[in-house]
Amino acid sequence: MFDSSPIESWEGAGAYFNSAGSWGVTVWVIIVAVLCIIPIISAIRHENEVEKKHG
Amino acid sequence: MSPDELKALIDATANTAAEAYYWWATGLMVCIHAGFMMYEMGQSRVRNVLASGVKNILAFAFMIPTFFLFGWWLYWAYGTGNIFLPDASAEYAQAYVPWSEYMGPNLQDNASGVFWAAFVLFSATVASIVSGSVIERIRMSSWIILSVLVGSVVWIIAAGWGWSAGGWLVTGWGYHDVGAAGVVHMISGFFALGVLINLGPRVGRFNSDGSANDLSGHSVPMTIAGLMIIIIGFFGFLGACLLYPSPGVSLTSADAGWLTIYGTPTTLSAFAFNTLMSFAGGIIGAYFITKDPFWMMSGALAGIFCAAAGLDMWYPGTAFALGFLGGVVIPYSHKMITSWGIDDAVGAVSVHGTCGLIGVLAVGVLLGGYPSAVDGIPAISFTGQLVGAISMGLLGFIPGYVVSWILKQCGILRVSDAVQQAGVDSEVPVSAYPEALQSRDYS
Repeated sequence: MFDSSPIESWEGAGAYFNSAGSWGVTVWVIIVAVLCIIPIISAIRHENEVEKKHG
Repeated sequence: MSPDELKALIDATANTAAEAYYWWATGLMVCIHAGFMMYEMGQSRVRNVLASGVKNILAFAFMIPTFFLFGWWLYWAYGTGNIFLPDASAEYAQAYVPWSEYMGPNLQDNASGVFWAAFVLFSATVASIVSGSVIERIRMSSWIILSVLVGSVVWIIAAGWGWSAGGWLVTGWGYHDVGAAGVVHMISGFFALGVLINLGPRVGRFNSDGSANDLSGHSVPMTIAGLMIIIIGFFGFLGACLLYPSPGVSLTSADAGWLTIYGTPTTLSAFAFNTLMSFAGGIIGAYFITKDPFWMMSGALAGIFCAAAGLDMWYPGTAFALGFLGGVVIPYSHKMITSWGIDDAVGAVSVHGTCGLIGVLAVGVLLGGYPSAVDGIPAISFTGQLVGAISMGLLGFIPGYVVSWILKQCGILRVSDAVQQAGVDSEVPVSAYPEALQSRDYS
């Protein structure tokens, strides 16, 4: 659908992962970072709620 | 040494190295079965623990001779483009009838035995996946029939269709499913769904108003440890999805490099990046949603399955995001299935069926346009992946539903309510735990 292939043939191919050599990789890097940060924030909120519940 | 002698030596070394590679991968895959056994026993109540274990052990044992008798033959007979009937005239189908010279010790053949063994363990994995969903109320005899059906017939037909360079889904639609998201996980998840509809819920699972009761297993730590052992086994599973660069396995010279099951070039490094990233994504996604270690470890599996179909092609960040999606989706998917009145004791339909589906479709959405290895085979496309997903869903669901319906009509599918209340371990001649533990009421 997105046609993200950086290669048209396997002949002489190098880095062939989706979005290789394009700005798309930067987007994926940002997504990974965000998906790591959000659960940490969620964990802090969860711990605070439990501590509040137990006085 | 002449160049020809040197080449012969290199080829012979590559062939024996390939043999060792699949031998050890097969051993590692036994961990999948050990993990599933622990997982199912942990999810069982004390009165059903050993029955769940016996069920798992028997599935493994029956898979081996049935796969020798007809499973391996079916793979090659469906790998030449046939959809409904096997092609008995196919070259490899003729080579792998159980009385063939290649189906036993043969000094001219280093590949067939270890390749067959790896596929047997794939089959055992398929059966194990279904096994967990039906614990605590399926009869052992019916379970053996159903496990042989899904492990030595149904999934291997799916593999012939879409996990073989000559399968009709590959040659006609460019279907790509390198880590078996569809051919293993969708098949087993949808097969389990078909069986669960006829099997019905465990006694006490649902109230008369349709609300569900929690029938927690007796050991969450055993369940979690089992899930982690399954992950170890999946490194063997995914490694064995590759063709070792040797004349005996990939029919190429030793310097050709690793190939996928479709014959496209890849590396073990690609699998290492994406297996670990999707594994981590699944755990973190499930932690974010549930904080529950059961779903976190199920999320690890879900993450790998969401990335499995394109394990050779993902950017690792994409694999992580897909894994995260899998970890987030599974509790909701399980809740939805439960709201339909279906009692899936371990969430197998959700973890394997739903995430296998996501994995197959994700390749169509994000990896469209990748070339195929062989001229004339279509490139990866969303349409091709959608056709593959529909085929896998139907091929899994219909046999599971029809055969379990027949077993139900024969009155041999389900353990009676009285035996369920006494505990299915009544059928096992030994006890799982000391008397003090057994006397506790876990109902």
